[in-house]
Amino acid sequence: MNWLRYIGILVLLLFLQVFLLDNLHWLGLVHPFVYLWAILMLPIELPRWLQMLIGAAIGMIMDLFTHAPGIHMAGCVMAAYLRPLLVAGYVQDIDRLKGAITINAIGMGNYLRLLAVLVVVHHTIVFLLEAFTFAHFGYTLLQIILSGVFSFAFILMFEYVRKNT
Amino acid sequence: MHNLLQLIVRYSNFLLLLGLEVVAFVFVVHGNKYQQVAATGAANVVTGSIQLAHDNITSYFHLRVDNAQLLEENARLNAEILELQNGQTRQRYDNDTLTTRNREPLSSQEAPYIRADLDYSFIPARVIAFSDDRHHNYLTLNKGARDGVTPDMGVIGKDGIVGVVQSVSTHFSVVAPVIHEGIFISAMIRKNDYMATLHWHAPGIRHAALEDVARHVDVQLGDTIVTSGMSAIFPADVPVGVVSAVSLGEGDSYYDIDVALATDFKSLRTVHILNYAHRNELDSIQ
Repeated sequence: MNWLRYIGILVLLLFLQVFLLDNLHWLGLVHPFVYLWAILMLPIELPRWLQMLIGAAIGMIMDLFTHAPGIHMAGCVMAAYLRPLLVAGYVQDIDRLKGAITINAIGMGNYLRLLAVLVVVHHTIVFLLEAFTFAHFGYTLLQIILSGVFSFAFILMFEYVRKNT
Repeated sequence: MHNLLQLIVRYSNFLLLLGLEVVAFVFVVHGNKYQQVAATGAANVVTGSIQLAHDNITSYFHLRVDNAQLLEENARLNAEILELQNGQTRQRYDNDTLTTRNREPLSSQEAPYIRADLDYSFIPARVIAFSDDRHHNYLTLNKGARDGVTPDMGVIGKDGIVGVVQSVSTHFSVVAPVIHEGIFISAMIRKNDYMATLHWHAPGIRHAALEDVARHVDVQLGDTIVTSGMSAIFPADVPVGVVSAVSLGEGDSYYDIDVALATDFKSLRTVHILNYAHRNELDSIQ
């Protein structure tokens, strides 16, 4: 894992997120969160407490830009906590796994499953906390599903680009 | 004791998860309180400066719309000048003929909706960031404490009411707009001065609900809703919107009224912050 490269990717992702995706407001429903990719790709051999703290830090940076303290932090911490558990569940010889979580590292099928679960968990937490009510749950659910589909597609696209460069 | 330590070590990751989630949750609850919207992040000078740089770039893409709005405002101001000149002429005429009739201050439906005799002054500002897809939306303006902005000042646009200033830093301020679920606007139906409360719910940034209108009140489609003036935040008669749907169930005591908001938040680029000259005095006796 090249940390300089990782930070470069993180900054690019946050820029893309804050300056482009946060301003699109497609139908008031679609709000993809592609910065989740930065948590997804963290090296698996890092101590789990450090993974969670990195997740919390990334979430707090997002919160700073979206004027909603705690919301992204909550989603990111949960994603960072679940990720090693999920990888351990999907991959047979977890002990030999080293470095960033990529399609090459864990295989296409596992990567898609991991990505899908993390996107659903993260988006559910973020949109529910943002609404802070179950009163308009249908609307929130639609937000989670539509935004999740776009996040999934975007992150998969990035992963392909990264794989081929 | 040894067992307890083992337990803590064994579940340390889960405990850390719980700890961090509790911290995040405290942030959420604290940050979403009505008076504290965005107080921690939005008025922050660092993100404010970045948003300003961002706005400097993106404002080029809005020039066409901005121009149209400026032209419209120009036309409105020209009309105002004409009307004032007419008024002066009439006044002279009235004096000449020694009439004692006490004339109403100049105001017509075409004229600007804040009258000069109300002791409000304006701080013009530009919207440099906004959201419209949340339950608690916000606007960031490029004027702050240095320009005389303080929390609880009203904000209006060229079409009508915009929102209330929530927090202020040196150069920026954050506004909770009408399309914020924590904001309740004291409004009235202009034709009969009946007071009601305007409250918005996500989604749909062009419409809000007018609450507390009892069934005996005469309210029709197309009625104009304006501010009531029952606070120092907004003077009376600032346009809020137009009634776009009215329904009354068989046993209901209150109407369900839908108001098409006067302000289009998607195209809002310039606003005026209202500064009421006697606010401290009013606050001190209330």
